[in-house]
Amino acid sequence: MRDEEIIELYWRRSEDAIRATAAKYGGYCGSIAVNILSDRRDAEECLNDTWTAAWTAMPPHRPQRLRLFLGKLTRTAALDCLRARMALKRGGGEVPAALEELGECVPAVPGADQAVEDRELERIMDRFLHTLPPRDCNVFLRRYWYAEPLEAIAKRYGMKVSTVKTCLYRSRGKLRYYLEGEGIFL
Amino acid sequence: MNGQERLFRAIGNVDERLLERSEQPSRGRRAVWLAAGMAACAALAVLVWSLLPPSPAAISEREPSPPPAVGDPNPMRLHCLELRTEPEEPELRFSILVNEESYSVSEQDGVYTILPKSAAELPKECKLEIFHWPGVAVSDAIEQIRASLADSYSSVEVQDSYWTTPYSPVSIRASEGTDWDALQMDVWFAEDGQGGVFVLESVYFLEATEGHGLRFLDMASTFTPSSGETPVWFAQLEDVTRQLYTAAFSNVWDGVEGLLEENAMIAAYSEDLYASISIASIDYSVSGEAEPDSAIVSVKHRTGGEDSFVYLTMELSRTDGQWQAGWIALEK
Repeated sequence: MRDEEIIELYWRRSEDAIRATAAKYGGYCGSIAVNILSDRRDAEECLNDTWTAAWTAMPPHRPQRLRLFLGKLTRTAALDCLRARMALKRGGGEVPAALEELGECVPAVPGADQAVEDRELERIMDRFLHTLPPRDCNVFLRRYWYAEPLEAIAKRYGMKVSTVKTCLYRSRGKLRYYLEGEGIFL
Repeated sequence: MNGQERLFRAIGNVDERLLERSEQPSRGRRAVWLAAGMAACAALAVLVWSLLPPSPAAISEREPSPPPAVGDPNPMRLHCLELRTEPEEPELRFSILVNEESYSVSEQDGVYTILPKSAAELPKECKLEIFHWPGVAVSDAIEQIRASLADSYSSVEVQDSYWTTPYSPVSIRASEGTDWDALQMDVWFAEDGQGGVFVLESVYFLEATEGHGLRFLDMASTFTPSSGETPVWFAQLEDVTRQLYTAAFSNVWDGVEGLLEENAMIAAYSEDLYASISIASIDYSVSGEAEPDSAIVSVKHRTGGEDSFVYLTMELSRTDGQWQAGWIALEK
């Protein structure tokens, strides 16, 4: 079924919308959830949350790219699930490692005027990612958007794992510098 | 929510076009050439490694088609050594293909060393070293090395029919004996075209003859003294690199604005350290589909005689024939 048809099902409030979505994008969204949560059962719960969120969002939303829209919903749901789980001292997939890596990017000495708002931070991150060379940006997103293991990224792009690490290290350095340049205090 | 988590979440709303792009797997191996050059400037004691992209045609003409290494799908990288022992001397260059998946390359005091990445696990040393002897004829170099090896190896042979390379029709083979771990050595000689000689020495133990020994022969077979022809894009890249690192080390950016992209990020020294800077090497890693369109240049240097090395790393892109830097920073 084409994306437009699936979206139309949502707009008509047809319950087939979720079945069609799960059939077409269950694998894609499931892999994102598993990467973040590293637990298939939690991932399934997360997918249910994703379908619910999609049902709530459409209408009024009509996504341009349904796949990525669902991916974002899955990521958010998985992070919420992970946050609850970490509060219970349970581990979670690649995210703890990815978060630790991102810790390098948080400016240590605030030189900023004020803490940045979430929406502004999103805009800054978007601008920053556009400054990266395509390959570096791809690798960065696979790691910090999809929470993919380094080995999977290396395989996807035909790189060595060490090259992936170096690429990420360099990008994190740039991000830190970029955030400092923007006067960001997190 | 801490800073890391806020960052992680903020990435979630990134431009979907970037996400779409990241989903495309690699379209295959891109031509990635690592450039490294070395220049030893008497005045500044500067060693600069430079690199040129290989001309596939030229390489295929010069390579004796060594058998491909089994299970070794990794790209080879071409290194070109640029050696300038005195400022007024003409530049000397060579190129060599190295499999950087299995071997690391480094330079120390004018000696270019290729080591297996598994060196620490080997029972004996295995390496390929390249150095330059200015003003020494090939015949004299052969005789001197043959004589020096005779003291430490049980057999030393000068040969012209086996284990030679296109640019070294004569080689020396030295052996400590036939024990499994007996050291073996192969030495090749290539004229530099200016009255001197490049010497390539490989050392390995007997049991590694069919492994690292042959690999070193393969690499040595790709060794090519430079014809002196430098592609325009590389000459431009070298020139821009020189201007930018001069600006970065002296903290004077006037006059190089045109070499910087709009909104270029720069994090370099905040004072003029040019006079005390010693450059050890410059690595150029260049990529592009047909002609290079992007490069990462890393200038290994230190600010004092005993200081540890720091890397001035620059990311450049090439548009309409012009190299410009978008990012310049110091890295430990």
